[in-house]
Amino acid sequence: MSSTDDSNEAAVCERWLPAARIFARRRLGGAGDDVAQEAMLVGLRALRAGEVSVDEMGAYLLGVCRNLARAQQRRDARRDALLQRWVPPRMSGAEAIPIDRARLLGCLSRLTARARDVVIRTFVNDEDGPEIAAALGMTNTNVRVTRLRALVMLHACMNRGPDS
Amino acid sequence: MKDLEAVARYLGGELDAEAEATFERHLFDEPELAQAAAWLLHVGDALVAHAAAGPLVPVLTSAELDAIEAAGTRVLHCRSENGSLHATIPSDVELVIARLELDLHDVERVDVAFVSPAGVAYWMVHEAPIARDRREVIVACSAHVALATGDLRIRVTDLDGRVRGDFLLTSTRA
Repeated sequence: MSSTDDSNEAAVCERWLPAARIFARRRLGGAGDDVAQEAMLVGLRALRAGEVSVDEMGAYLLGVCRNLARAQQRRDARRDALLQRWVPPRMSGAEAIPIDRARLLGCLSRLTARARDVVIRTFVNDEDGPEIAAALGMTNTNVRVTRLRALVMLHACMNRGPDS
Repeated sequence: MKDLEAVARYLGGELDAEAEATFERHLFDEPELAQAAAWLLHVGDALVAHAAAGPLVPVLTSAELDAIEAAGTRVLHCRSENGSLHATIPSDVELVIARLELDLHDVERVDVAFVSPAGVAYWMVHEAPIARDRREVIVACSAHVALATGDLRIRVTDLDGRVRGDFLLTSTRA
């Protein structure tokens, strides 16, 4: 394989892996990351074999992700049925993430109390908009606006640091 | 920045089937959307991981403190006296809980700043909760940070900017 092929493949991964991850995360939760990796491998093999071009890669990967997610959901359903029958519930360990912890927590602390609450409920408690609205006495629209502002502030703060 | 909200709504399952299918096509078509997705995944994963390890924000409600203790975290409580607190920290303690006693009957929330010896606030919690029933602000600090810092100044101001309390937490190993 030439260095041009390598750089093409690196660009494909950089371009579409986040999309594949978010898709698979939505369908499969934390286990979706493995499916996203698998989808990228399928896409790269197809690229090498000349079955798909870079221009077609987005639509191709979306189809691969859909198929793999459906297959994984079927496997999960079978496995869950077996686990429920034979194995007690397990706790999974927290995943190590390469992100600046101090900066993230510093930025989170700088949000308003309500914005912080919405962010934590969204990402840590896995509550959806209507659940958050009910818990905090807000409308769904207010939750969305508050979450958007909070994410924008977190994004800006993470890029420049909480001290500035 | 609308991309961030779109991804958050998608991840939260808030889109109907048609909107979800449309979003997924855009997700694989538009690099900006994929970048927003990558950032949100990192932040979400990091928050979940950090929440499993300890409090996300170092000022706690009474209920949050109760939950931390109920989960088996080994904590050391120290109470303020004339603006000072001292923690003598045994090796098995994970979290130092500084209980700052204040008269805050007239405010709903406060800003809590962690201040360097030079007077610079290097960490700020905006609109921090007050443990109203106990008239105190509960600050949590991991034991290793408390020991590494040695002296930690904590300043409590109301949301009008008036200083309501200034505390010095000193920590030593037991």
